[in-house]
Amino acid sequence: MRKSIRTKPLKPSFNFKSVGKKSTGFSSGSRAMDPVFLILVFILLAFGLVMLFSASFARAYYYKQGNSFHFIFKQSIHAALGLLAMFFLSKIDYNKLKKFAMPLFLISLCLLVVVLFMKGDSNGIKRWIQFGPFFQFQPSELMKFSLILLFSSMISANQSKMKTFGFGVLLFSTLLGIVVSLMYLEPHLSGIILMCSIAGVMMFVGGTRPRWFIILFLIAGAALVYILFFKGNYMGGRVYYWLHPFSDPIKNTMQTDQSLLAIGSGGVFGLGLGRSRQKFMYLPEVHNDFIFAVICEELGIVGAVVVIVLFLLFCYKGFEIASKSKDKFGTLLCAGIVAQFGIQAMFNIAVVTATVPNTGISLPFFSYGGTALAMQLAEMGVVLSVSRHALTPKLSGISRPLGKLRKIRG
Amino acid sequence: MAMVPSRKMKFKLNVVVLGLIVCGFLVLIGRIVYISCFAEIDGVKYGAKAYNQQLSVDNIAANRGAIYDRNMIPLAQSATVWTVSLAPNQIKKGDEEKISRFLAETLGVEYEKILKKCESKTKYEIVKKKVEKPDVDKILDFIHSNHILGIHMVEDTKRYYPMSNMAAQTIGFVGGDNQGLLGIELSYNKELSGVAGKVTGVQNAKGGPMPYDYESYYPSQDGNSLVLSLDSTLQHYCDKALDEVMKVRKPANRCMAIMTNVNTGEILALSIKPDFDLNDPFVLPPIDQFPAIEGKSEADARTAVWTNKAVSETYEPGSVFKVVTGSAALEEGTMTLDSKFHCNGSCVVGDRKFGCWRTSGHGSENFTQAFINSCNPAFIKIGASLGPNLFFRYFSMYGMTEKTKIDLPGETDSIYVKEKDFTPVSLASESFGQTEAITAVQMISAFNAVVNGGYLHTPHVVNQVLDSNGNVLQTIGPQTKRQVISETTSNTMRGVLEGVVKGIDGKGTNASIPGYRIIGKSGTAQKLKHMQQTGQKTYVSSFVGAIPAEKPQYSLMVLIDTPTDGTYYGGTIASPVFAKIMREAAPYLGIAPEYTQDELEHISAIVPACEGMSVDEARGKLQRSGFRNVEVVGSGGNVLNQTPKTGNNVSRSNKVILYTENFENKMISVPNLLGLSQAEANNVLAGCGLNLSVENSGVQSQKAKAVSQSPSPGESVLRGAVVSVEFLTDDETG
Repeated sequence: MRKSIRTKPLKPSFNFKSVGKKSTGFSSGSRAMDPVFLILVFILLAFGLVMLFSASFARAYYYKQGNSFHFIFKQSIHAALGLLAMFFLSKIDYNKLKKFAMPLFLISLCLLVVVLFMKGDSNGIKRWIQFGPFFQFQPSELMKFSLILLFSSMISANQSKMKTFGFGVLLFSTLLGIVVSLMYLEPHLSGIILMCSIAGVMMFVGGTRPRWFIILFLIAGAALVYILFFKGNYMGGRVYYWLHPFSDPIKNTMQTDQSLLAIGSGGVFGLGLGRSRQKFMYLPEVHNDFIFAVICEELGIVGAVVVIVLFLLFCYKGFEIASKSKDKFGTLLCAGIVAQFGIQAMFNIAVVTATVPNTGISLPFFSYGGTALAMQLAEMGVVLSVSRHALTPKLSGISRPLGKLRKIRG
Repeated sequence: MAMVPSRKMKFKLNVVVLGLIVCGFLVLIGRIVYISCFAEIDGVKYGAKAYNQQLSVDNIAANRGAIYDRNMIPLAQSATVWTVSLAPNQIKKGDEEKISRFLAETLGVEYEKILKKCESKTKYEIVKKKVEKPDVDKILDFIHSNHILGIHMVEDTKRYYPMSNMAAQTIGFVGGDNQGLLGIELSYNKELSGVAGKVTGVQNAKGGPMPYDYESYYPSQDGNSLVLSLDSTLQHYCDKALDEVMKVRKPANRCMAIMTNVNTGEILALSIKPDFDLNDPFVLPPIDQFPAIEGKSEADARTAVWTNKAVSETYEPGSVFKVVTGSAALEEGTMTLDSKFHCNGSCVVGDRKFGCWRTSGHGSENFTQAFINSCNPAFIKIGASLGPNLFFRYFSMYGMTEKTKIDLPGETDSIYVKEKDFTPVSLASESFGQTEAITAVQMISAFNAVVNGGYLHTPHVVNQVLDSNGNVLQTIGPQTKRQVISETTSNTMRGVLEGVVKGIDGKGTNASIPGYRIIGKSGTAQKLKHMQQTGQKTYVSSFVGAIPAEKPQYSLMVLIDTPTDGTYYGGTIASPVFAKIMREAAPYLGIAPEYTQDELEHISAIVPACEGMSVDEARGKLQRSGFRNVEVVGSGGNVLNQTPKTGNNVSRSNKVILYTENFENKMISVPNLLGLSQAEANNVLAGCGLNLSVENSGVQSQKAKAVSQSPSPGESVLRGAVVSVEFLTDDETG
């Protein structure tokens, strides 16, 4: 495969013929990655790294012995690794991932159990598994992908059973329920919501009858209300402080307050790239969950809209790739991954703008977190792999530069 | 075909899911626009609120102005010092102990305290204020050589008082933030402190700088300096005299002296003893110097010591107040110098019997004699001749019912019987100064008005306000409130009061100073309130006087509150202090002595050196120095020895013995002179070959008795040695 790509002429127009063939379902598919999507990924990654540096250098300077580059350096290394993973995965036929679906899911489940025995953070929250002094990762990150992979393969293999309650609803709900239960023990509310959203999208697209969703929504809603309002002070307090910003600026509403102040400082055009003031230790988690507030402060409404439009284009192109997949597995896999990014970004911005209660959720491509970024880029590789096997590759002017790009890289 | 995604799937994905995501993001864009441009908290836009928290304001301390005496001798000055503070969140891990150990050693602060501050979670911890330059340099060295973060030093000023105790209650001192707490430092705080400048900029959440240049600089404006009317030299004369009073009279409730310019209201000296060191105002004087504070809490005792006795405390003026009653009666014509009085030791008003201080009575006396005798029955009559309305009118005109508005803080109100509450009894007692309680500045201001032509001035301590470059911003000249009595009455009063100091026999009283014509009046008041509270008879003794008599320029008031050595007449204990101070002050103030013939006889002079001269030369030299009484012992031609020795300051009526042959040193035991009059003492000493030096040579009256002598009786001295003796009269005259 790899060899054939290299030897192909620069003109993707060649694919015209194979399109017809592919539509028969027997072709191995297109050989070019979707150039627009790839460029979107690059833009988001570059933008993300620039903003991460801007948001983190002050914090790094004060907390990391004067090394302003602490965060951006680590993030860049992981970005490079992630890009390698991305290109590696993009060249692999995604169908080969099917056989890993169940093992990966089981490994992820095990890790979700293992994490419960880890030493938690200062609030007793256990989300991270530490490997040595430098490497740590969240099993829930891996689980997101595992779940997408598992659901994709299960749905695509049992398309006809999706309309049944037993398979289409109960089985998936049970699997999701196990995952959610484990995450509830961490506890990791944002992860649960994200997981449910992704699963919901996949089941919906995969063919579960819409009427069942009404019931599922009711159950999920009831659970959410129960958790938020009646369960402990960790999750319950958040609703109160969400409804009462600036009521406890020293502790409980500090993140939200400072985030709102940052957004408020930006106005339409922002203070200018690099010129955030809130990042000077006022805004906690400025390099992480609240990096979007710095984007608003430095680049204003204009910058915020640009980021949102980038994510929307990302979803649009991602879903287009999913739609053009040669098989349903590709469609679902791609849709799951892209929806995960879209929903996570939306959710993150909702938290930063205090549109929903504060819960720790990062902004894909932007937030600090090397393992997570590498994982995200690897997932992009899967999407690009799907795009390479599209039924009807879209031709556009961009195809040509992409050809060149490939040449250069090759 | 089943492999290919269905249309339905595509629809769900591209329309339903994407639609939901688009809707979600549109809501968020709306939210961002709202937060950026419209949202407010407590009426403040988020952007402004953010700026407020980022705003940093660093104050630049303004230099506090100096305080000078009238001759530009500094009384209070500021020097730059530093406040050493820690920024615990900036301190590098592991440095805490090193920093604590170093600062504890350098600044003398407890190690544990500093360590605690290093480890606290705050942004700012003050370690020590008012750190001086050498220590600051050490800390800077430490910071640079060890690459320490988190120690900060901010400039501040510290107040120094070069004269320490001088006029402590009047000058006052400042607190830890350089705010005036007492005296002029307090009343002129605004003038002295200037306007602090500031640097506004942005700071990070840890209080450190941000790498942006938002700073704007507002320079500080240094405080103005003050030139006082006080004169350090005069103040020193007063302090010196009062220190002696403290030792001899042991006043329970402090003593003080105020010198003023009669014609301007300027305060030239204001000495209150015991005092305290302005550089260390919290250290109290020994309790035996101020028994009245015994049993008080530390804070109350401090307040008592800091209180300006002349301004913030009232006292009973006693007979000094008679100048008010007397001058009013002369002005109104209800009395003349020829008015006659008769005193048989007491008089009855209403249901009260008022005794005169001399229980045997003064007999028949005229107006001036009533003053000299300080006769209470006479003054009850003088008061009665005025009647309550006129009396109260002058009482108010002399400023007894209002504050003097002196430029010192904490002036207290006087206590008196209101006009509508006047009874014959209260009129009688107020006439000789026994019911009212007034402040010392009120009394001396009124006295000045009596003798300066009738003009009541606002007393003041500050003469000039200078800006930080020394340019005069404001000059405080005499402020006349009103003319109370006419020039003529004032002139008459001067004559009367000169008579008072001369005494009934005209030979001088304890307040007299040879070569000077003095006017004045002593007073002794029984402290009625104290009497009611404790049943003990205690007194406040005072004397107010002025020189020169013909045109008074400087007045001096001496007040001894509750003497405990058994004496209490103002004329006995306050008058000599007046004389002592004025004898030094008058020449300093440029008032030269003019001796009468009689005084020239007795005036003391320094014995010239005659040894080695021929007898005739020696005689001539002694003659020129005013020593006429010369005895030559032996038959030699040249003077080999002399007594008194050269350099001794003795009365010129003393005998000088010149020895022309070697003689045997003859030791003489000093006789006891206490209780003798000056003439008697002179005779006794002459009889045994000793010389007399009169310490207060103003009193020539035979009633003045020796109250102290040096050397003490029984000591052996060489023949011809000088015995100095202090003669005082012990009564209320003068």
